[in-house]
Amino acid sequence: MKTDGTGAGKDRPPLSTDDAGRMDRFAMASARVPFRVKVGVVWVFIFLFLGFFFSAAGFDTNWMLDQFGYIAGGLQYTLIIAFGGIVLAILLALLGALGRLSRNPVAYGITGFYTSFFRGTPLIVQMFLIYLALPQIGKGLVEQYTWLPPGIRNATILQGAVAGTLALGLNYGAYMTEIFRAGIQSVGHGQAEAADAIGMTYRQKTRRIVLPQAFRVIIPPTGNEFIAMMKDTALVSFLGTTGSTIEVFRRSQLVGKRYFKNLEAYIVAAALYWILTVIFSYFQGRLEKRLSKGYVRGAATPAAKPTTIRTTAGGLGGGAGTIEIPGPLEGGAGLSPEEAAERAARAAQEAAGPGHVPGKEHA
Amino acid sequence: MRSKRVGPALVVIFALALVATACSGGHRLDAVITSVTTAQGWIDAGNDAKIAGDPVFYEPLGVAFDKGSTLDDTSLVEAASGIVVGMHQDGTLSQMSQKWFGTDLSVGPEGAIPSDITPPATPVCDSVDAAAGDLLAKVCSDGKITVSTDPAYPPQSSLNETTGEYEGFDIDVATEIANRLGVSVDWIAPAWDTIIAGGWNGRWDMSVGSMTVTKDRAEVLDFTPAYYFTPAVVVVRADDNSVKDLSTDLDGKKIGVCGGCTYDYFLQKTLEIPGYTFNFVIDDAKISTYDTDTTALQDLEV
Repeated sequence: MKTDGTGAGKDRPPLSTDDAGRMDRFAMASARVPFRVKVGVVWVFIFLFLGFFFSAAGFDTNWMLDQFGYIAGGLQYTLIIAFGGIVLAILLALLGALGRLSRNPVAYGITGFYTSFFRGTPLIVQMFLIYLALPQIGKGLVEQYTWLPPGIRNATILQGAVAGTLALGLNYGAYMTEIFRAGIQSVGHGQAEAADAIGMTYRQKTRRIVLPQAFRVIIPPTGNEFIAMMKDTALVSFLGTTGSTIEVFRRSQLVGKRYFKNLEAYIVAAALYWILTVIFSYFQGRLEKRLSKGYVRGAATPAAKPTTIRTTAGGLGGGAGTIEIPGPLEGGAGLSPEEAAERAARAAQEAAGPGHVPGKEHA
Repeated sequence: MRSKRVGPALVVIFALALVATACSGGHRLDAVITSVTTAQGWIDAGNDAKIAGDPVFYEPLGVAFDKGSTLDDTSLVEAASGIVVGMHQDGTLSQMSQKWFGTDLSVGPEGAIPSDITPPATPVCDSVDAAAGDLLAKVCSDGKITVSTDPAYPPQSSLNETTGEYEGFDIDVATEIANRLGVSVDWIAPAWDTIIAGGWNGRWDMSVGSMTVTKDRAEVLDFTPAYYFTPAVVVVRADDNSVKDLSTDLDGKKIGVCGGCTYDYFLQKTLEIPGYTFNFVIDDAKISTYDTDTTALQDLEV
């Protein structure tokens, strides 16, 4: 249906800015402002609101600024523990997911127990078990079975940060096993069948066909887990800290207790964790965009307008004509205009029959 | 027709009930029991609290060692005990107490410091036989002793964030004991529950953490004679005048204490310190436990 730009259709009376009510005028004006700017305004108002409550509470902001440097010094340890944990978690999740999907009873049984136990017990309990119970087991084993090397006892006595990272990795690995399993299962069964058909081994199929496609589904929830893990590193401080590895939460706790300003200290810690999360979410968004280039329409370039290709002699029915390709192809990937043109040219050639070269005029 | 109204009505009633239970109560605590040093530090920091009445009890605080340690700790405990007695006799502990608390808390009741222990010749490690193979020999041959502390406890122990060093009364005492032994100090800050439970697994050798010598703890830890004595006091909000007689006014009230501390046992009436008897004046207190005293004091303010 043709429109003349004022929103009037064939059967509606024409709208003019004088006739339109205030609501419509506002709607038209606001439609010109980009969405992001509007969201930004909402955030500014939220922060103003929070700032009002903040100042009403009478916090000692000077003290908070003074201590910010010291508390922020713990960021490196928070990140080290979080990275250590997520690497371990990813490794365990990968093995766990493959185990959950396997028909081998040993693999299935072990991974099933692993996910059940580490999802079923609280993280802080797991940390204390690794930190306190493990040395007791080591001590008992070495004392009972004297043929065991005594080094085992020392090996079970882990430092607080190490025990914490290990517990984080094991715990999050169990949750991420389900994420990885869902990702692997989301890859169409036809892909695995095709891989089998051309003779790939299980390893080749998993590593080259299934996993690369599964990553697209796995990355967003995994990023989520990493963000959560950055906060859970705070629990490590409950095991005990040696002077050199005090992370953000413990630092805020210590200065808060020293100066009897607990609330201010915790607010500084909260702000730091929030900043970390925002930074990481940004990078996660970029990674997701990059990975979804072949899947999401318009991810490469916007191709919203219908693409009209003129062909010379050889159109359907033998004469010159136009072939119109409607916007983004139905049910498929977004094509750039160049690709659409290519496709249209190929379609024209087929339609014209063999022996015809598009673009060349016949007498 | 009716079912359309009942559903939302039930949701609204449920939500209101939830809000009512969550918001009821007003003040979470009526009082906190803690040591006089922590209470005074809290009040001096400008908080809205005051000490009500006389101290409810006195407690001796000793240096602790792990009974279950693989290496025998007897000689180390002996040496440390002798050093502590020596520090009492030559006035070091009085001096340190004046410096950190503004008052001499190292003087206890009659006979609290055993008179039959003689201070050893310092530095102790000079006369230690390395071949003895026990904890003292290991500490001397390593040249350092690992000491646990809880830096959330000014003025006994806190972390100076500008220097990155721990400082406090406990820190000074531990450093002096290490000096008289002839070794240096390595610090570690574990959770309080892991310290009082024993079973340190050799992660640290000595605890100088204002730990009260109770009967239960003496089963898993070896203690030296007390290095100082603190009174435990009741802290209330500055505008709260309802607590005058400690034996009656606190009965049934909401009292906050640090979990696993002597104040907790005092309220539960299970506190047992060898050589002391207590008058458990507070009955039926509604006890709330916290990870440290300062968290409890913070909650009192709310």
